[in-house]
Amino acid sequence: MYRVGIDKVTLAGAVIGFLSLGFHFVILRPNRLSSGEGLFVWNSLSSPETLLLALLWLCALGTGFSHRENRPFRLAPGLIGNVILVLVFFLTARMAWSTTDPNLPFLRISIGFGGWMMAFASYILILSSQQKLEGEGFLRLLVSFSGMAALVVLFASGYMSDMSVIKEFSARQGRFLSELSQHLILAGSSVCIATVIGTGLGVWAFRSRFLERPVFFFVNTVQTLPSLALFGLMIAPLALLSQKYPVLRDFGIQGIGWAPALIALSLYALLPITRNTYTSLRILDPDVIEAGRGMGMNGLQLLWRVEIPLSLPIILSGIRTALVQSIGNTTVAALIGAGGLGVFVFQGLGQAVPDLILLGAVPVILLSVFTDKLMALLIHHITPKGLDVGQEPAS
Amino acid sequence: MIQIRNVTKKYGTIIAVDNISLEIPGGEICCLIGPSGCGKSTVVKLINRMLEPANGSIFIDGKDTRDFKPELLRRHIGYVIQNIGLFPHMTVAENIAVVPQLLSWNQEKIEERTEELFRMMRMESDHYRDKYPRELSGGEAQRIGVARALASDPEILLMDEPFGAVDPLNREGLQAEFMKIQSDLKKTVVFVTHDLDEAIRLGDRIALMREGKIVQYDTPEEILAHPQNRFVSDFVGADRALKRLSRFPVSEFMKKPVVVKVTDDVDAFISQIRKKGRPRFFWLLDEDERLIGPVDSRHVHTPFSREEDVMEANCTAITVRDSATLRDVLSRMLGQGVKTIPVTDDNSRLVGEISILEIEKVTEEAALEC
Repeated sequence: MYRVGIDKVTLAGAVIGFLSLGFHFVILRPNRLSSGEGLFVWNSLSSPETLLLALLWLCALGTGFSHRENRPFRLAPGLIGNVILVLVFFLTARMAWSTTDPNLPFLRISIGFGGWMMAFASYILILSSQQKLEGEGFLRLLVSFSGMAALVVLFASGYMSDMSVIKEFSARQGRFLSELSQHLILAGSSVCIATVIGTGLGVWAFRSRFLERPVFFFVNTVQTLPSLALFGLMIAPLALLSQKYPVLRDFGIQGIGWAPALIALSLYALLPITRNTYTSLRILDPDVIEAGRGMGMNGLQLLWRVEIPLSLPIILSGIRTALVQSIGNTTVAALIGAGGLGVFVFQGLGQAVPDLILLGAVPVILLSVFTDKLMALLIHHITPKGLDVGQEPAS
Repeated sequence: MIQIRNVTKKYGTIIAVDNISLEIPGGEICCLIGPSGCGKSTVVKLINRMLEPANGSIFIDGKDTRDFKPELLRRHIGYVIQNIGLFPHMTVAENIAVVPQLLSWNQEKIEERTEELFRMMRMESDHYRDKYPRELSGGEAQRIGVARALASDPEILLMDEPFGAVDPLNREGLQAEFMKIQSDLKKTVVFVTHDLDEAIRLGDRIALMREGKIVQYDTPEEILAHPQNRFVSDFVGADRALKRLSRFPVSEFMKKPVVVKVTDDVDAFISQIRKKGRPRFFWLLDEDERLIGPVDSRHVHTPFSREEDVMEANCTAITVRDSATLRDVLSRMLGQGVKTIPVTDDNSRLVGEISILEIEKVTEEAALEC
């Protein structure tokens, strides 16, 4: 007998899904800058399509209300979610490509608030299934990635090329790739720098009772500063330096640009790495160290065979936090001329072109999620099997 | 053999070990015991140079420990600590193999030795070798700790309160197993404990320490019979006579019992001993020589009736095993209110009897010596 119960996560997703129907599903603009006209699901889609969407959300609502602990019921919300996710993009793209009006050659069609909300709601359904399918390798993968994979295929096939965001992308393909790589370089190198300094500070704080407080006071304070403020703070001293030593300018080090951004981002990434390094040393069992020494390990052997295997997973999860955080913060760095995907976000804001904002924001989100999962996988594989700390399921 | 000569260890102004000298003969267990903070653990750490003395020197088999690199020295000295300190990221087999690996043994030899140690610890190799320390119970982990210390077959074993964190029931089991292993291996063992019963049970010698000094160094029997001063007699307690009894195995003091098999002619036997007048009691055995119970020859039916004339039909309550000590025997006698009890072997066959008289003789000896 399976207990029938309410599944709150699925239910929340379904409710948000239904609410999304109350907002504009797509937005039609005569050109990329004008404000345009919003259309509801029933205005923009044929009746069978509208019915299909409504039916899918009803099914989601149904599984939310009558959840059973068996495989079909754990799988159902995820499958529904994936189908809806693909449908949102597919239907909009199809509309964009089928609507050609000779009077409106610059017509832009993009997903409206309701459409985004529906995509978000469908992702909640996917998450709900993901949680329930813990340990079911293939099914979990299917639920996690089938929708994404379909979207990638859809994008690659050119089917979506008439959607407004994609038009913004095609117009800036070269720029997009260079800003993407700039973004990755900034985020990546700042974390590399923070790793070197942060692990050092962590070890230092652990070794010395006097340094523990000042070190953490420093990294904690940096963390509490708003990112924009920190970027701003970097400008004055660096501008002064480059004025005094013009040679620095040849390397591109000046008040604005990549240099202040890199410094600020590195400072931000310090806290998680320093704290996790310190903690990993703190929780090393002194008995284990004594046993190692007592059995005749020298300092290097103790480090390689005992200390590093035991603390590396914790340090790595600090680096994981720092990386995700850094990818997000790098977006703001565009404001001081450091480049990166933030360039599109701020251009879009300036020109009031929502699709340009999305061109910057969506890749940042995808990058964060992807990096996070990748690091989780790495940590999972590097954590010795005998440990229960730092053991997190790879997803 | 370990010789400690005039060794002093200071922490700042505090003297942890104060000019002690100690000689531990090869193949013996020396228990270091004393109140906490008396320096007993420090002595152990000085032997494997986890700590360096301020003064004095330590010799192992006549060689000064300072002539070796500390790491190399430690690889040839087994070391067991209270909280075991198994490496949590290594399997049980990998934990055992640590020292052999440090000594660069080849894989085959390590494998062979690991299996041998599992057998020695009476642990199923297939069941344990791939487990991780967190999957072991306290007692199992401690056994692996001992196995790991013995891995390179060192001549010397240092044990710093190895069974201190184990519950009393498991502790006795571990002690018994350790004694069995030691009787084969004959290692030179320095065993730190704060448990006097443990020291009396395991130690060939006991060094009682106080404030960094050795107060008395002797066999357990001697320490219990002749405490050198007030501190020692307080430490060993008012029941030292009783504790001392646990040094004497019953198998050395039991007498040959008078027995009759139930299949023999019991009536004839009874009339025979009645004529002689002694002994008054005898033990009735079944056809497999297992004990049925005691019989009082003055109060029996004629003819003898197995059902009515055996005094204690169920005599497991008054029986002790031949591995017991005189202390167990005395406790059993007091508990059951009897003056003579039977001793049986592994297969519950009667091998002897012991009476309160024998125990009195042992305690009298000590009293005379005083």
